[in-house]
Amino acid sequence: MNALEIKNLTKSYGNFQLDHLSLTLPSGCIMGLIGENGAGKSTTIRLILNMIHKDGGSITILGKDNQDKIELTKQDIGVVMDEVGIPECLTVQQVGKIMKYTFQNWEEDTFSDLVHRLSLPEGKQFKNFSRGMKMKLGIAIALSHNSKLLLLDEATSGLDPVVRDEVVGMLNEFTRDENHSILISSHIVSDLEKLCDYIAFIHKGKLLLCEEKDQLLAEYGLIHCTKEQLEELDPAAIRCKKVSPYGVEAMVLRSKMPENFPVSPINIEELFVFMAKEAH
Amino acid sequence: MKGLLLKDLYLLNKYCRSYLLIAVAFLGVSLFSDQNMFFLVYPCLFANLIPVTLLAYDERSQWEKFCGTLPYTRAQLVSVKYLIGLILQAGMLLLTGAVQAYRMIHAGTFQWQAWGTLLVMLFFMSGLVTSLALPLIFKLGTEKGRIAYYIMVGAVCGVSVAGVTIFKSEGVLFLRSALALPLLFAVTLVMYVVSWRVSLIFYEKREI
Repeated sequence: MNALEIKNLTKSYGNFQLDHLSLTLPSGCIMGLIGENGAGKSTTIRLILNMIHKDGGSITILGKDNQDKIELTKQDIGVVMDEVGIPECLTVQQVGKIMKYTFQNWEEDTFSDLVHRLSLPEGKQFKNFSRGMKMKLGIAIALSHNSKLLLLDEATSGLDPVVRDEVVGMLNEFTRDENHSILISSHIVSDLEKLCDYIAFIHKGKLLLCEEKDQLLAEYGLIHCTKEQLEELDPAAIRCKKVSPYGVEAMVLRSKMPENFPVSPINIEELFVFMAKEAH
Repeated sequence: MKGLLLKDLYLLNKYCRSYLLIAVAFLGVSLFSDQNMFFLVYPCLFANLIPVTLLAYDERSQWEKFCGTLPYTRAQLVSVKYLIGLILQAGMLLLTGAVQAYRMIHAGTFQWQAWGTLLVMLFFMSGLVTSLALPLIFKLGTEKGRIAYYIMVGAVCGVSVAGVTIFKSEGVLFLRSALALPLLFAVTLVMYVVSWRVSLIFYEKREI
């Protein structure tokens, strides 16, 4: 079963349009949603959760249509949005009690463990939390009710590198269970590179690509050459290029490149920047 | 819905304790002011605006957005505010009823009919406050909703004053009739149900 299936999803407001977005997240996998600010990542996550109303298309979460009693499906979904909207006067203990009455599968011990592991102060009011602490509390809630799917929207932003690394470890731990899946959007592409099995690029509401990460890294490479050398190459090999007075840097399809031409490995961040620039 | 209720109780305890203390103080003052109804009426109206205050705190902390990720229906999010409003209203009416009964007994003027009329009138007036305010807040948010609410309250007051001036004698006669109290009580309940349904419709359509 797929954890998430989105077909031809459309939504428009103002100048923005999410344009027939389709993607599938298989169970047990982690998919990274990459895109610039305003590309449609948060809109996609809010549409999945039915927080905003779609114009068209369909969304199936854990085998159920998201228009069909989504509140029941949400029992199995852990969500961390870019802002954790907990009332300012509440403490971690009070939040734990509220969640106990919110989620049928709330695990007090797991929550307590995570609170300690993430060094969250139990008696401090939420208004006195730093942004990083707020995000950590959101992550602790999302991981404490036996959820099968995590939807994370910029959940690692605001965390220092050490905690981010720990959170990435926790998310990896979460997907050891083959029924657990994660859809994560982040600007910190290095986190996504560490975590994800699949990468989806969104640009101005359009899905540029959605592929297995390893496949992408195997398929594409980076070359540094002169303009003349570039002109000698098969144009089909060149996906996008950056020309500067010092030469040309280009993202290429390895399969179309001459065997003797040196092609360096490309990372996801470089891939993303190249593709976004090409789409501009 | 228990979780939503518990969260609102935490907020009430933190932010609204002082409101409730002021309301109780007003009721205390009402014991010594024979003619002025203000101190008696105000606590009930005050208590009924507390759900609006809670919604303002929710909006400030982005609870609405966070709640959209939790396993609650939109109907539950709306209903909990009406429930809180009714619980506070019932509590404040009981307290006001007790204070007014004590005042009347002390002055030797206690009459069931007069006491009952006062409570049902208070129930109606405070019910009107909630019934008007909440749909506007659910539709427009707390900032714009409050402005719209004050405009509407102004209009209702204007119509009421005009009505009382024109139909004063008929009004007194109506309140003395046997039908008046059950009718006013029923009207208040209907007002609540209509307001709740309208809030549900508004909130279902809202994008959070």
